Amino acid sequence: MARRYLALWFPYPTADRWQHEHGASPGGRPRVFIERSRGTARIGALSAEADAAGLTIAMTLTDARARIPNLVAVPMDAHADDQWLAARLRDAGTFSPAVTLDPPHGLALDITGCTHLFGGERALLVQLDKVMQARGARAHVASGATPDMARALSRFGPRRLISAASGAQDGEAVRDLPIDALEAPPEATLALKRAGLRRLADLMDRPSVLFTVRFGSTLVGKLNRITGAQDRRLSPERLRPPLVFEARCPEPIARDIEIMGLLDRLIAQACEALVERGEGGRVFAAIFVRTDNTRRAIRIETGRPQRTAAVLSSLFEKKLDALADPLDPGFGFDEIRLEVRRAEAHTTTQVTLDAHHQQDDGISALLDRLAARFGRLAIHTLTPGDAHLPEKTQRAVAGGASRDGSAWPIPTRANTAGTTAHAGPSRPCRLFEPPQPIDMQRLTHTAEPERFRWRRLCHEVRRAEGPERIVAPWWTSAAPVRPRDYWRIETGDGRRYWLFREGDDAAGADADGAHDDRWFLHGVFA
Amino acid sequence: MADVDPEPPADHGFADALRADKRLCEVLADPLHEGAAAGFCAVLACGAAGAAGKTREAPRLVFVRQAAVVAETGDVHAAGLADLGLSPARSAFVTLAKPVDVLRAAVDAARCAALDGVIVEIRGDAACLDLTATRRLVLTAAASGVRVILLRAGGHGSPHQGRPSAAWTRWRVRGAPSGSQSPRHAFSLGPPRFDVALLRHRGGCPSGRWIMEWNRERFRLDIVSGASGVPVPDITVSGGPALPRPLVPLSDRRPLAA
Repeated sequence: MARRYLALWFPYPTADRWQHEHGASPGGRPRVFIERSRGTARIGALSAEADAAGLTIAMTLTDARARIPNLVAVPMDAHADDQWLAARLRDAGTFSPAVTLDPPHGLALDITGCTHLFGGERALLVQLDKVMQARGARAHVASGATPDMARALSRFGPRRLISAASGAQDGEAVRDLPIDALEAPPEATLALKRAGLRRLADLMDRPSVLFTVRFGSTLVGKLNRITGAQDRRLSPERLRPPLVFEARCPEPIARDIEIMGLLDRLIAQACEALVERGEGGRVFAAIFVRTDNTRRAIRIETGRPQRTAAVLSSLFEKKLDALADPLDPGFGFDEIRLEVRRAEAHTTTQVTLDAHHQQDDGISALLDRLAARFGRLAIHTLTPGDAHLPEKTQRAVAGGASRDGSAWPIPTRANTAGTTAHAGPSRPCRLFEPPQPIDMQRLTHTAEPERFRWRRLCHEVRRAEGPERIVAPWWTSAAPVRPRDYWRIETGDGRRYWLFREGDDAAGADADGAHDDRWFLHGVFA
Repeated sequence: MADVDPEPPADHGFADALRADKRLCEVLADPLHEGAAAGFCAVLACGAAGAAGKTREAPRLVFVRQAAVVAETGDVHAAGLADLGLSPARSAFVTLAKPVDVLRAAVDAARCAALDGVIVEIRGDAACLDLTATRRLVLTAAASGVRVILLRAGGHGSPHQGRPSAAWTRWRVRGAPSGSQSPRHAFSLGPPRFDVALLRHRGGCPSGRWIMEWNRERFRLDIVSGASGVPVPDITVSGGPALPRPLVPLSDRRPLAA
């Protein structure tokens, strides 16, 4: 049986990924992706508009800006690009089991025996193109009798979609390709062009021994593979099949107990498969297909890789109970599908004597239960942020995934001389975000806060401790940074607040000695 | 579970009252004194109140907070909690809009025996916080051995504020002026003081009122003055048998405007 291959080529993969993730640039401005090498910013990838404007890869950004002033430059992210291409590889995996990367920026598929499933080769091409377009990827697709033929047609062919049905037509399409399709070294291409050979047909019509003598056998071998005279096989990537388990019911089911029972069976299957792979699932989705083909997907997420059937089943039960619009079976579901959307390596931890792991397990199970009921965003844990601004010293991580027992860094009591032994906390236990503006009333021209109005009430300051100056990182923002002077104050009846004055003494004081500064209340102490 | 060691004789019944409460401890914040109440709850959860300063692991806590309370009294600041002896990295925070959800999550958390404590922050005027709901919390906490601390802030002047609850102990907390003897601008506030009143104890401990000072060295509360057995007027509730619902609270302890 004659083999058929398909090649995909993404001319602007980086631009496609960016546009899919961040949206189109306003007004269709040309965009380039820059990488730094030896101190210069050079173009690493282009968008279609930038390509049309005549910019090229490896041009310096300064040169490019000189040509096109309204250029948008974005740093290149090679890792994200690789991941994007790997995701496209998985997408293409639904069309053929034998898929592999075809660098640069391409995929190769062995579609022998797969075409009839899609209604012919042409239909397969169109469908694959549609799938790619839905992911925001503009691809050139071509099929041919050898991988090299398909590759040459997709990259150097006249149209975006090329499907050559029979061998004879393949040959016709290949004959018109330019010499560049050989992807020979630049000096060989140049020599061929100087000799007046511009199309592959010019080479095919001449005895190949001429070119073997002049350029070596590699070029002729490549030509033979492009024309289909010589075949080569792909070595496909091993794609792990997605974990999808489905139960089709002979009759529609509508009762909760039956639905849960069926779901439990699928969960048990999924857990078995996960154990076999040595993985645990982080994201699960149950898809309920009604008789009228309405689908409803219920998604749960766990804090750590999970493959215990009882736990998953109770999570699904909780989620189904907590749905704002409950699952409506109508005339019944005739299919239930369970997908493991994300799986991670599951490491079994050895049970230690101090039983801490057991406790951790208990707590993460609790957080999973709460997340299933109230949503992942309602729950967060805190991790230290490496910053001095109080509102940035902590980062909230949704879902309660990353909890570690490490001690929290306690800020030192800077600028507070004489309060070492017997003093209060240096940071408030409650913080207002954003800081609350207060109206500071001054009786004298001193730096300390004296009396302020906050939430319609007047507060008298009895004692004050400070100032402690905290400055935002000046190197990150273009606007001038206003330093903050923090004061810990106590009112007459023992309430303690954390106030700060924003503004610079030097810049703020005008001729009268009045300060152009603003006061805020940032936190409440115990 | 962090236990509380009695420290006779200076504690004047305070540690006794606390030790008996492994179930539900209800803390009422005085108006404007929510910060002090939050700090007191944190110290209670630490198990450090009145305890000998042993080095022990920081407790694993879950904070369940009502979104309205977060907006009114501020977000949790990890560095401040760490200053009080907690470990924020070992705690989880749940923020929910509806008071009913807060109670539901609190019961869920109280059932988890792996935790050392649950701090529930709910508005004082939450209508759902009735005898049934608190009783449910008490039973759950008693079964799992997790200490549940119910912090009720705000909602002063509401008929729901002082309603009876099934809590084992009920405390009223406000800040107290610092005892620092240094002059006004000596760059020292001194350690924070709490004015703590035990309003009710189901185990029969007499009510009392103490001024306590936080000990930064040993992460605990030291009793400065006060005694148990003193009848304490429940000033947070309504201030005596007044009108069922004052139209405009004309006291200096006006409710917050948020």
